[in-house]
Amino acid sequence: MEKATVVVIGGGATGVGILRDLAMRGVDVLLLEKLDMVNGTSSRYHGLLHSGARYAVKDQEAARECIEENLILRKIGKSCVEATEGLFIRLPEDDADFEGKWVEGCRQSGISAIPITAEEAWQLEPNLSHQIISAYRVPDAAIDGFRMAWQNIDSAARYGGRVKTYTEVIRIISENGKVTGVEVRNYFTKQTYCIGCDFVINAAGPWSGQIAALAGLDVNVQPDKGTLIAFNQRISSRIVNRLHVPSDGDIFVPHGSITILGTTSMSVKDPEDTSSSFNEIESLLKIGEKTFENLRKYRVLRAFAGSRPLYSASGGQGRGASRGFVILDHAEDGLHGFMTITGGKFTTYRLMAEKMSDIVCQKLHVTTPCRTAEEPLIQEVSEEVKKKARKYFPAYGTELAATRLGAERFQRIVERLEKNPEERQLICECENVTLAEIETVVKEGTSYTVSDIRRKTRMGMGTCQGNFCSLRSVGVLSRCDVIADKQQSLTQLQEFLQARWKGIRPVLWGNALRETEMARGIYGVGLNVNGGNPE
Amino acid sequence: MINSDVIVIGGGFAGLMAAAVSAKRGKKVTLLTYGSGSFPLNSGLIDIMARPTDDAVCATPVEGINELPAEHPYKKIGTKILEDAVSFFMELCEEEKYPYSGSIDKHQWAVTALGTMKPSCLVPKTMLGDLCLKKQEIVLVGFNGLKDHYVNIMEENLEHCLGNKKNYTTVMIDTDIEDGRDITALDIARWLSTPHGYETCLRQLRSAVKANSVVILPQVLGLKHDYSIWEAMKKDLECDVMETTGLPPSANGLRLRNLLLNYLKKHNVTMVENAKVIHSTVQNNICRSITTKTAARERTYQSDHFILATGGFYGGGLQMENFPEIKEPIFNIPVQFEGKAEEWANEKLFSNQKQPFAEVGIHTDQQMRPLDVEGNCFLNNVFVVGRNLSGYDFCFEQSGNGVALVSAYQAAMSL
Repeated sequence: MEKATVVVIGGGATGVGILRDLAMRGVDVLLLEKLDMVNGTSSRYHGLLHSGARYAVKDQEAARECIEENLILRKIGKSCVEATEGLFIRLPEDDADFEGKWVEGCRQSGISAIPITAEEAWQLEPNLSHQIISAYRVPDAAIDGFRMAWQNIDSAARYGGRVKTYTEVIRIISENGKVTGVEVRNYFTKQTYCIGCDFVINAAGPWSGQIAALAGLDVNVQPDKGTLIAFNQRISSRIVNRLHVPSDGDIFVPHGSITILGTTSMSVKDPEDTSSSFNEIESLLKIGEKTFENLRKYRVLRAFAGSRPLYSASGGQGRGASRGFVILDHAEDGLHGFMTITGGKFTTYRLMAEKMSDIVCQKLHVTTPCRTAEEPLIQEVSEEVKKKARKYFPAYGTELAATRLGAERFQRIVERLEKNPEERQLICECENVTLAEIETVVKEGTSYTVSDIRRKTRMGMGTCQGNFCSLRSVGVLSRCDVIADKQQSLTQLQEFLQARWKGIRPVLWGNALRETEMARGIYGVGLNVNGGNPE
Repeated sequence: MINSDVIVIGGGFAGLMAAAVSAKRGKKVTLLTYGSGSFPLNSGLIDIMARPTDDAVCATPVEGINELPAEHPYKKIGTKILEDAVSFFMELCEEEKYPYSGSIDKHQWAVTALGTMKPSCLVPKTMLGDLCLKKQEIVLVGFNGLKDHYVNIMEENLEHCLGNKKNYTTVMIDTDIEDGRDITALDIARWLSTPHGYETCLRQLRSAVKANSVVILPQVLGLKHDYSIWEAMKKDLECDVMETTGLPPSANGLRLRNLLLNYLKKHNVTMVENAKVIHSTVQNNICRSITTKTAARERTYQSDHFILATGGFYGGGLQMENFPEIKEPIFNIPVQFEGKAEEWANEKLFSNQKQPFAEVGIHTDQQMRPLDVEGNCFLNNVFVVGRNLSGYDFCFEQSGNGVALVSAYQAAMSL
């Protein structure tokens, strides 16, 4: 039977953080994810590395944690963070009293909030509303959730940390009140088998209630859905927050060449519910255009949604519930070796992982201290390799690829590009993803679907939303024989197009509508992706 | 000021056909184009009707047409005119020495770059997919460096379509195109048009071909609208040769476009490229003139009749800046979506239902003249053809170029 000392359930930020932390301390750790890594909450959010200012009034502790972790992540995850800084702006409809409390809250939490005049704010961000009453600069930053997660996994792997995707835990096995293993099921083959372990850490985010229930335990995690909009342009250079009691649609986060606006907050039964409706989008735009008056002139790329895991011992809901995190040792419920970590937010994932790992290490009598705050996630890519890469990537593409791939993989890919001119083909023109990169990622054997490749490479995430690269990626994936459990190529393509459509459907006007007609022309008419047979 | 009998606005298939029919009838035609519509997208296949109501493919295109609801453009126009339009097109292609095959009594199945089979109606001779049913040896050809064509997927799906009793072979051809950029099917088509490219390809194909083979290539058999490369290859390999549909840019779409432009030239149609129409002048329900804008200046054109073939949302003939306001930018013809926001689009991109947004468009009378919200004709000398019409889903039905052809024919005959 396959074994690990610690099994971590959940391939989100918290899970990969724990994987890395424990692996670095020499613990034999295996992470299990029922689908692909980072497909849940950790990739379905703003990508905002909080300064803590958003929590400065309501939750000083969360605010302090944010600013501390903000500074740490900038250091260890340099290439995941875009140090944009942030603005808080107050508009006429925002409560004036709140501003005073907020300034005081920031001061107490150690968050720098520098007041600037409205004129200065417009100079920094010309698209901003002309109704601004007051504005502050805070150390917010943009962070790439995918990249952060891959780099944690790569870092963990160097210390022996293992990952299994498409492996769903269906049973927690225990003997005499002590965990001895888990039973899992492969998503593709449906085959079930057991993995032995001494500890199980439930880091399944909004799914952690369901995981706890497998052990007959009750963990009150309320999935709270947030819908977001991705614009095809950078509307501002900085993150822009509304200076009022945290509410819907009041944060804009620029990333690379796009901007994300969010979010809504809505209790949902099932964290799998990542749908977004026309109405949610309309309400986000209505609020958003208060911050940027010309917002509707910008092309919307897609909408997406994810669920926050809101924990409440007593049943608080929505933004009223705590954004702090909790660790539950279920030994107290009579099951030794089973723990749940939930609540929290992306910005504090590392701290959460540290606290969780401290507890496990204590039980395992491992005394190695946590080093995740000191050691960078990846080695820096050398200038020499970047210089070589610039021959094959457009300038913007070099930086992007270097940071998303990490030093070692990037070097391998650049070598392939040097050696095999054919592999320089751009499979995804929008995001500058070459054939060499897609093949390298596919051959690692952890991509089972085109969406898996997308999450690792960004193919299909750009302006054309997969109109051209979908067929190509399916072609590359299906000719690679590393993966035995692959789906049929038509199914792959249909599922990928449908997944892209899910985010386009609620924003189906303007250019998104044009692209959709093109997609239907290419895949529906030209390629008859639905199949069919002559009699 | 330029005077004509007819001004056709739009350089897609509908516009070119409307100009062709008008010119054939002896009208003085001016064609204003801004882009080339969906020619680069749709492989130049004339789909007429494959799925009139649900996901079942109808027995024949003509039977499918009979099942359509009354609002469908085909129903409005009638089968008699549809048949005339098809004949007109077939004769035109014949005249231009690039005859198409097919009739509305039978689907012509084309092989796609995915290895699926697609029901179409009027197709070039290089894309008659039924041949695959008859041949035992299926030879799938790819080109090294061509990122838009994957023989491995084709093999998988064709085997699914045609059964595993046939023999499937894949061949990858090395080209010696040195361009410093990614190559497309058009580059290979150009290469195959050279004696060197053709010989190089043939040499590599020969060993793979056995008796009773059909060789299936992406659309690379030349850019000109003739069958010379196809015929030569059939003769040299002594087997059947076929092209698939594929990702844009499609060579056969461009062949069809060139064929039509050639025909228009011969029939003295005045063609103005890159002419974006920005304005129309209408008095007493009669359009007097339209104004175009090019980089240099604005220009006004007068005419007795105007045919609007500006496309749907993809082509820009209809625009939706914000839901649910739809705009037809030249004549300001009212277009409305009656449903609720959540009814605008289906949950599935492809399903057994037509997409509501796809069926939105301009309502017309039987002569293709646009109607206002009350259903009255308000522009007596303007005719609407092609993708900006209401009442059909080109993708679901597989009817795009068919509706373009038939509505263009009807409009041009109504002048």
